[in-house]
Amino acid sequence: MKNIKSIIILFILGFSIAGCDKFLEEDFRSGITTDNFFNNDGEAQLAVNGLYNLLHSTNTYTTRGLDNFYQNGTDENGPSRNVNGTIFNYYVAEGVADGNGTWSVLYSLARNSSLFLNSIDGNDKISDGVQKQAVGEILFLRSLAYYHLTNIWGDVPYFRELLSVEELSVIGRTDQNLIKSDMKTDLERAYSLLPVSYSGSDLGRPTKWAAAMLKAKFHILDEEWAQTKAACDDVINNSPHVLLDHYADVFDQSDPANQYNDEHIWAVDFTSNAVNGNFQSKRTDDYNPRIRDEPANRNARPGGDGTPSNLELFQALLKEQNEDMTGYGWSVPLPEIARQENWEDGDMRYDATIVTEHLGFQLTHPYFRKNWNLDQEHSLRGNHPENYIVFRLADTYLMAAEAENNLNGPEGAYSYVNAVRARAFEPDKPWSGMSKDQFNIALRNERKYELSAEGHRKMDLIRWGILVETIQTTEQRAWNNPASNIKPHHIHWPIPLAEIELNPNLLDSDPTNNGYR
Amino acid sequence: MQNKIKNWIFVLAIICFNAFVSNAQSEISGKVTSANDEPIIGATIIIKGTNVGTTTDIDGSFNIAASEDQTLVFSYIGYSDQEVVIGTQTQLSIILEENTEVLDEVVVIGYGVTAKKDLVSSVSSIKGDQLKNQPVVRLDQSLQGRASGVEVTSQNGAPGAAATIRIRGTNSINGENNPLFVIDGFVSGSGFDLNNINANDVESIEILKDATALAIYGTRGAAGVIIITTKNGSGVKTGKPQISFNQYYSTQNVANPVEILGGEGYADYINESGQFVPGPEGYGFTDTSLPLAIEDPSSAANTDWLDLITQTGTAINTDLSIAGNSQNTNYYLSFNRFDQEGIIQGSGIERYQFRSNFDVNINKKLKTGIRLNVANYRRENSKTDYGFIIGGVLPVRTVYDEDGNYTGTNPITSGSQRNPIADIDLRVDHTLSNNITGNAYLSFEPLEGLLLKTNVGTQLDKTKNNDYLPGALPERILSGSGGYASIAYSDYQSLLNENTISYKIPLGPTHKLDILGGFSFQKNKTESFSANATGYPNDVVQFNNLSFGSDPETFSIGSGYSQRTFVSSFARINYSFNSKYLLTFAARRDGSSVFEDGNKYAFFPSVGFAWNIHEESFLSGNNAINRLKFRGSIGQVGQQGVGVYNSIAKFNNTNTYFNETLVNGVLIGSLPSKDLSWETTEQIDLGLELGLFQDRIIMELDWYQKTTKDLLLSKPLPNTAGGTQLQNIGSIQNRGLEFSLRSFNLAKGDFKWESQLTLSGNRNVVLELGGDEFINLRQPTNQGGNGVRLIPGYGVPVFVGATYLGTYKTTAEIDEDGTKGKSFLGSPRYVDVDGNGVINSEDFVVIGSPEPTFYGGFRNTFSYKGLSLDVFLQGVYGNDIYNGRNQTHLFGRGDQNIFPAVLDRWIQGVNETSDIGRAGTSTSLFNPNSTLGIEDGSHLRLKALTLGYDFPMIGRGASSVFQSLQVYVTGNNLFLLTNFTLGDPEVSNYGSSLEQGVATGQYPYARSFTMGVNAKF
Repeated sequence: MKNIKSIIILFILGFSIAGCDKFLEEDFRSGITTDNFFNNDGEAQLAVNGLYNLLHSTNTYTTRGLDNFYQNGTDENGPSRNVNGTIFNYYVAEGVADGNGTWSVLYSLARNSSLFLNSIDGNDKISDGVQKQAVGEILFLRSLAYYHLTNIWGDVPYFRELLSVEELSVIGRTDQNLIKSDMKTDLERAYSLLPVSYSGSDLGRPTKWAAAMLKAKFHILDEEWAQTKAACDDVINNSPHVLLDHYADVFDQSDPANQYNDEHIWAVDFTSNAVNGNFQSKRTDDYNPRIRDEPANRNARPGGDGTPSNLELFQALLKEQNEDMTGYGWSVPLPEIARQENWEDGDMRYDATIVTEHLGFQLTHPYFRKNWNLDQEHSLRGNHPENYIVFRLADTYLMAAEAENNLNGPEGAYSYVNAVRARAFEPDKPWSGMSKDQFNIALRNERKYELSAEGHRKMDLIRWGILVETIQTTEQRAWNNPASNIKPHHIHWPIPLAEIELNPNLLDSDPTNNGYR
Repeated sequence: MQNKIKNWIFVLAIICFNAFVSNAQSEISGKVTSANDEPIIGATIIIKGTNVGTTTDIDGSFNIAASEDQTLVFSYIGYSDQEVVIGTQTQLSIILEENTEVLDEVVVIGYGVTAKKDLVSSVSSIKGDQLKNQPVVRLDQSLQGRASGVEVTSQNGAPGAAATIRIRGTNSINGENNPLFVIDGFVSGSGFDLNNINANDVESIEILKDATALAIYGTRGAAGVIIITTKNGSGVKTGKPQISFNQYYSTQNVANPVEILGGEGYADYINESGQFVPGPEGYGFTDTSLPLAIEDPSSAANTDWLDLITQTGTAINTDLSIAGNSQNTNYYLSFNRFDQEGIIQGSGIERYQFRSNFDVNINKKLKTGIRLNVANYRRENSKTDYGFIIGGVLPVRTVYDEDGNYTGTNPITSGSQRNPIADIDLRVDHTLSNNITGNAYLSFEPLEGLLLKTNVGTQLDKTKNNDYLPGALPERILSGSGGYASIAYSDYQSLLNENTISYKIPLGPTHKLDILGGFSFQKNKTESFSANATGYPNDVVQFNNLSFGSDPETFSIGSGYSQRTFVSSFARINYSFNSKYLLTFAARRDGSSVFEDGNKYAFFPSVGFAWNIHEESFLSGNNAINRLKFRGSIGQVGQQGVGVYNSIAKFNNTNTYFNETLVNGVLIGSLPSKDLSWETTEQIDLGLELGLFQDRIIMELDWYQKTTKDLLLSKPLPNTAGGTQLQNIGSIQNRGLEFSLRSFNLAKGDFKWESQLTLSGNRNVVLELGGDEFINLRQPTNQGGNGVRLIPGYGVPVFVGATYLGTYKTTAEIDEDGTKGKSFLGSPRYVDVDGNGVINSEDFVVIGSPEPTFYGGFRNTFSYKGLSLDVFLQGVYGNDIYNGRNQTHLFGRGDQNIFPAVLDRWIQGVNETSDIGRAGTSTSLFNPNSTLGIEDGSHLRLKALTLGYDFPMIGRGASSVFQSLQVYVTGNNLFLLTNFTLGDPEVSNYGSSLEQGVATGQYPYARSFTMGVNAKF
């Protein structure tokens, strides 16, 4: 019996001490922990590259993510049928298409870039050259995040270093002027760090000219004309970027290996057949026609009964040049911009911008030729390689013109506008003899015709203070009625309702939530 | 105590002595029959106190040599033993009485077994014969309605699909709500793939429900424990192995198909929709100048996709087993093949499974044994999805275009859309699984009652998924992306060592004290590897060689490693006084790797008490009540529903492109949790067991209350902070009643009728959420999404949404609501709680609960001679289902299918009273989830009906071949009573998460007819 007793005692002893701590340690092998990173150049570069992933999201540049804020709901484009009505009809409200997805991606960009910046900037384990480049890129990308955030929502939560989860969960809104002012400073630093150009597989990273352009965008929103002009002049005079001779060439991305041209200052790179669908642009599909819509009178048989229909004839022609219409038609020109008589006589940009017939067939709807791509070899449905051109030099010229006119009147501004118009008219139709106001009014149309459907229009209308009146007087197709719904508060989006429910402090500084409640 | 041992030895010596000294043997012969004079074959005759014996032959006759002073014991399964003192008799005529009493059942509990009468805990026991021969591969699907307090809901009808099991409600939000499976002593975890177990190998299934039963499993058992015990050979007659052969064949068809509107109706609708515009007045207008989408609706295509993808499925099951028993060894060996072709083409499962169970007595003190299960299956995963077709594969889309090629677009949106028929014809998608579960034990009994036992077990699970999307699929032709292949490989290994010591301390006849103690170590690790490639120029090599993907830029590879370890110690003390008063203490101390240092260990105690009232003198003379027991228990169990590496801040691998060149990158991973600790569930259980008229009626009633604190909850945080974070937050409570009844209604002559009823009701409620007014488990979204929310004071969880009021009938209503420009005549109208003209989540109210009022099963078995009929009904009452298709399919979004009910929609000038919205009004409108989606999920189902016939073995010569021969036919899912509109109301969307009761049109359930034969040799 003694044995038994000692066995029992042993067991009881074991019972109280059971468990060796070593056995219970977590054995983490297949990932990288944050506390052991940023030890060399390669790790810094991995971090920077990661940020670009966030630009390839359906909530940002992959499809109509950012276009829903910047392009859709303007006087330029609408859908070919009743789709995306919450945006095109201005039904936006708290909890209704309130942009929560975009908010989420942009804050992810803000958090990641803030952590990466603080981890790389001044880290002596990372070589100077790599550090300079990395800090420049991160500053640019973070400024871009806050650029979108302040444009869309006005005052927004703001941080420059990664706060704790607890702090980020109760953060309130910060005055957008403070944020913008910081971003202008950050971009100045980015400008000083970033190189003048890239080649090969670095194309798609921002140069110092991209930083200058983003800075100019911040300035022009605040009507800081001198700084706008200074930044634009710098790009025009000192950068390698030039205006292409032919307007249509600016948008020609038909050769996937050769998508960048001298007029592009910065683009988000998209690739067909990518590892992840978000790297394949789907934005082009919004601008491409739907199969079943085209051509007009598709069922008519021009040769009489028993002969091929228009559709069959058209499809055969498309096939001959390896084209097809496989898009969605969610973004086609509104009637006014589609009519050539509304454009200035002889404006050659019309044909490069608007297409109403193709291969001799009248189309049911007009389309943006500059944004469509029917090629079935390189640019197929859902798998388009077209880059999103964010900044290009013609915009720089027109911004400089606007800044100069507002600073000193039209005299010095003509040359900027006329540089852009030179390729649009043959013979040239340069501007002259305008008053400052006339110049400003004319420039509104000039920007529309030069930059249509490129994601600039909404902010232009807002900064000119004419969004509501413009939408109310723009001719729409029967299924859209934005005129009866648009309100002055639509210059901003409401802070997303789901976000407010989780963080009521977002209502502290503005209980009306940008006028939506 | 030493005296006691001496006494036993003395008794033993006398027995042995008697056996040896018996003398003057004479030959005794005779016949054993049943009451109705049928000979009993194979009855055992043993000379009492010896191991000398014989069995009856086919005429029921026997011969045995015995002496006058000896006693013969006659026994046969299902009959009461009979003892006869030989005396001077040489010819015996024995009539055995049938035993209608339930034998005092033995119940398997954690780390042991106990007699049902000594059980303090609440345990449901299901014998294997109730589960056999159901034409499904997984045995969880057969558990439905069999035990009280156990709610089993199939996730869908796909071959090999898992069921969601909730024992006494939902305890946890983020933690594991599926019970822990313990298979022959091997702790297999909650995620064990039951496809690896053959239901016909199962001896019994025990479901542990209350705190004293569960505390011995500590954190592993918070959601309940299901102990599966497989057969062994110990019940088989010594000497001759028993061979059993079982085969059935089943045909299966879609039981409750979903109906969607056909081509012409759809075309009419889409035309009407295309001409709907806000109009000059802004209240809605039909603009007949707009082009019609489908010019001639009557000639529109009318493809019945759901019909095209379904087929008559089949299942063939073959079991072969050998069980044997000799003095020191018993064994059970089995082979199973199950081959099912699903009711959706291209889906199915084929399983081969072997089991080998051995027990060996090395000597009187040492015993060893092994339980080994080897299973291999190949599951053909569904190539297309029933719900996807219900969603938006339109009847006006044809399967093939004019040229005979598969169509690849939705004809209305022109969006690229998979072609279900092409998917079935061309896609490759299957899962290969190999599972080996082995558990060996060695036990040493140095003294009677003292048992040291050690178990070493391992479970190896290797699965590989092969997927190939040929370049010839229409949507891949459209995107020009060529073939796509992916393989995913996972290698899971679990190692378990458990050591227990138990001692039945001999304290005399009045006191019984059993103690148990033990340690357990377990390590589970998973290594995974996945790779994919695209751009296959042809479809020859497929997934077999990824390097044929033409574009190396798009190769993608990944691998992973995860590991989880557990260290536990546990103990249990059972004390009984005169078999009247029973007391159990059980406790476990668990350590788990997933918690941070300082929180790694937790202790979970419990205590239970039972009173066998029928042992009291005041009931001893009672003829009606032969058994009455009251039970009570209280205790804690824990939950470690935490993913591995949860507290570690990580960077995730990601990538991007520059100028068409792929580069790698990193981004911050999901938010690490901080200071997480165990979730604890406190459970109180009160139970009553009643046996009437010699157990002809047995009732069991349990009440329980479970309170879970420090809930592990994946708390949604603002997007500024980044997604969700696992926190200990809030508490929830489950209370319920469970009732089971088993009665032997009739046993007259050859006719027998037995009934079994289980009924359970659970009420769960959120007690608090750490101050939050609510937590969204699923963000309420528009267009068919569901809103699932936790709200203090409400069920866990509830559906939330707007209140649907019908359609706008007058312009005055629109003006009153202030929604002109957004709402139109005939468009949907909701209650605008805050009156701000916008319907959003601020207007949401609780609209339903997926928790049933009660659920249960009712089984009746009738037998007459060799015929038996088994009728099993199963039902659920009072639960709500969120039909996620109502919103889109009643409001019509253009790209989605519509239900036939839409024929009765609001049409201007024709039908202006309908509450089904006007075509076109919802196309661009924000439609919140609403009461429109809520439907009653109550249903009653004839789950199984089995008719069997046992061929009589007497006098036909068959008995020289067969011990028994049975043929049976079973019909499953023969009828369903329900008001639910989207096919079958048994829904458990999104697997094991909380979103039970959300229906989107899952893989349908089968109605099956099965024929089988079962022979024992």
